[in-house]
Amino acid sequence: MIGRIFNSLAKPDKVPKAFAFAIMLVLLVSLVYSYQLNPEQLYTKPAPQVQIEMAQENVDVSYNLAPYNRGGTPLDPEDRGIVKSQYETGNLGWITAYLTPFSQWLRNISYRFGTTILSHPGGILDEILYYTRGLDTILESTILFVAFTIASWVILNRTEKERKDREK
Amino acid sequence: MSDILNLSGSIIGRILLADIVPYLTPFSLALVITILVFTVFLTLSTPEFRAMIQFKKDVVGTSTVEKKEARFRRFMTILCGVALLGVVTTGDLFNFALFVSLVGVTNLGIFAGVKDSHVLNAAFQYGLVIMICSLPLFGGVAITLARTGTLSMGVLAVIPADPLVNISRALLIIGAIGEGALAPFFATKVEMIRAKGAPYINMMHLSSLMVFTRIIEIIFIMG
Amino acid sequence: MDPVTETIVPELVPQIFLNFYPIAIVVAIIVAVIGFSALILEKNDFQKILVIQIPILAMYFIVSAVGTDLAEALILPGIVVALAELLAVTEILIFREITKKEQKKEALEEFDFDFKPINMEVLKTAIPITCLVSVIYGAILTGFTGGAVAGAGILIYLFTGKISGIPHSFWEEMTGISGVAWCIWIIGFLLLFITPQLWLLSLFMAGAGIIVKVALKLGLLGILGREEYNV
Repeated sequence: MIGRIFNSLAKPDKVPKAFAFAIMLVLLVSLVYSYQLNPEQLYTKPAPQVQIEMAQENVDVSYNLAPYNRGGTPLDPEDRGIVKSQYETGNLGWITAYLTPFSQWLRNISYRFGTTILSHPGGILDEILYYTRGLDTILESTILFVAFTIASWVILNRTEKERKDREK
Repeated sequence: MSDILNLSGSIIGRILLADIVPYLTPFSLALVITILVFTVFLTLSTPEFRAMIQFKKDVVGTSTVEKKEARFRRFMTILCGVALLGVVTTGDLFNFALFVSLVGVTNLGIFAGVKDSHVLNAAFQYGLVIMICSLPLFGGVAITLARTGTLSMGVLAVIPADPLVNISRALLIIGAIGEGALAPFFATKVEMIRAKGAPYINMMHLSSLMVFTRIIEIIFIMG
Repeated sequence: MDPVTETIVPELVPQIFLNFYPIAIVVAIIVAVIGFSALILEKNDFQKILVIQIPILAMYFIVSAVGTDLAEALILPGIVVALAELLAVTEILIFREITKKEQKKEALEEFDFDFKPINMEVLKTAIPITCLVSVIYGAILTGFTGGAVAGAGILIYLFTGKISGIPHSFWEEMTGISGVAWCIWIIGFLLLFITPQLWLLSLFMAGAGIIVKVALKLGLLGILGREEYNV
C-alpha cells in the first residue's frame, strides 16, 4: 500500500496535488480551534477612523496623517514618533514623521492625507521596512533578483537557440 | 531563551543589529561549518561527464553541461549556500520563512536551465510546490505572531505552549517540506530530477538536510 | 512626550481588530480550501499557475488579519515573493512547452498569431499619454510602489506599441543597469542602518535605486514579449 502511494508520488505532476491535499487537511483540522488575537502586539495601530475624528477636533495639523500618524518630528531625539518595536535600537522613531514639501502642503489642506495612495519616503512603514525590520526588505529584494535572474537565463537560452536555428 | 540553551548548548556569539539577530550555538556551528565546506567544495569542482550509450547503435560518448550553464549553476549554488547559512543561524521567525523561500528559489534555479523536457517538467512542478508554500510558511508565521505577539525566537522560547501554536508548527513543517523538497512528498526526488551537472545538484540534497534539521529545532523552540 | 500623541497610538490592539480576527481566519481557510480543491481537480498546467493565486490570496488574509503596522509591513515581502516565484515558474513552463514541441519535431504553430491590431485613433494617442502619466507619477512616488507604477506604464507602451526589433545586447546592458540599481539600494539601506544621521540621503538612495530596479524589470518583461514575436 505504502509502496503504491510512493510509486504514484514518483510522477512529478502528482506532487503538488498531494501537497495541496495535505495543507488542506491541516487547515480543516485547525478550524476546530477558536482563533483569538493576542491584544499585546508590536507596532499597534489605532482603530479605523479614530485619527481622522481626532484631526477634525484638533487644530494641530500634525494629525492630518491619518491613519499613519505616529507623532514626532524627524531628526529630533527629543520628539520621536511612538514605535513599539521588537528589537532595541538606539534610534527608534526617527524617520516616522518625515514629509516632503509637497506632502506637507497636502497635509495642510486635507484631513485624509495618509489615506491617499500617494506614498512618500519616510513614514511609519518605511521606518519598519528599512530600519527595524531591514533584513526582510533585503531578502525580499534578493528573492526577486534571483527569480529575475532565473527567468532571464531561461529566456536568453531560448532566444539564442532560436537564433542559431534560423542561421542554419 | 532557556529552551535554546537546553537544545543546542550555550550561545557562542550573536549579532544584535535591529532585526539582523543571528546567533551561533555549538549545534548550529557544526551546521555552518558543513555548509561552508560543502559550498566551497562544490564551487571549486568542475561538472561531471556523463556517459552516453545508445543501444543497438555504435554510439558511445560523453556529454556535459556548457561552460555558460555551469557558471549560472555555480552562481545559484553559492547563493543557495548563503541562504542556508541564514536558515541555520537566524533568530527571527519571519526572516527564517524568507530564507527558506530563498533556498526554494535557488534550488529551482539550479536545474531550471536544463534543456530536457523531463527535468523541466519536474522543475515546473517543484516551482508550483514552492508557490503553494508561501501559504503555510507565511501563514504559520502570522498565526504565531497573532497568538504570541512576537517574532523573535529568543522571546518565543520562554512563552508557554499554546494549542494554536501547534497549528502554526504544523503549517511551518509542511512549508519547510515543500521548500526543501523533503521526504513524504519528494520521496523519489532522485528519480524525478535526473539532470546532468552532478556537483551542483548535490546542493539540493544538502539544503533538504539543513532545512529539515533547522525546522525541527525551531519547532522545539516555539513554546 | 505629547499626551495627545500617546492616546493616538494605543497600548493594546483596539477591540475592532480583536472582533474581526476569528472571522478573517475562517474566511481565509475557506478561500484556501477552495483554491486547493481547484488545484487538485485541475489538469491543465497553465491553469494550475492561475489557481495557485487563490491560496496565496488566503495567505494575505491571514497575515493582514493581525491588523498592526507590522502586519502591513509583512504583507509586502509576501507579495514580492509570490510575484518572483510566478515570474520564474512561468518562464520554465514556456521553455518546457517549447522543448517538448522541438522533441516532437513540430513547428511552433500556436505561437504564430495572425494578429492585426484595429486601426483606431484612440489607440495611437491614449497609450503614450497613459504611459507618460504613469511614469511621471511613479517618479513622484519613488520607492517600490513608484517603480511598479512606472514599470506598468512602460509595459503598456511596449505591449501595445509598434513592433520593432530590439538588439540582444540592449537586454544585457539593461540587466547590468538593474544590478547597479540594486547595489545603490543596498548601499542606501546600509547607510540608514549604520549612520541614521544621513537618513535623508539614504532614503532617497533607496527610493531611487528601487524605482530604477523595479521599473526596469517590469519594462524588460515587455521587451521580452516583443522579441519573441519578432524572432
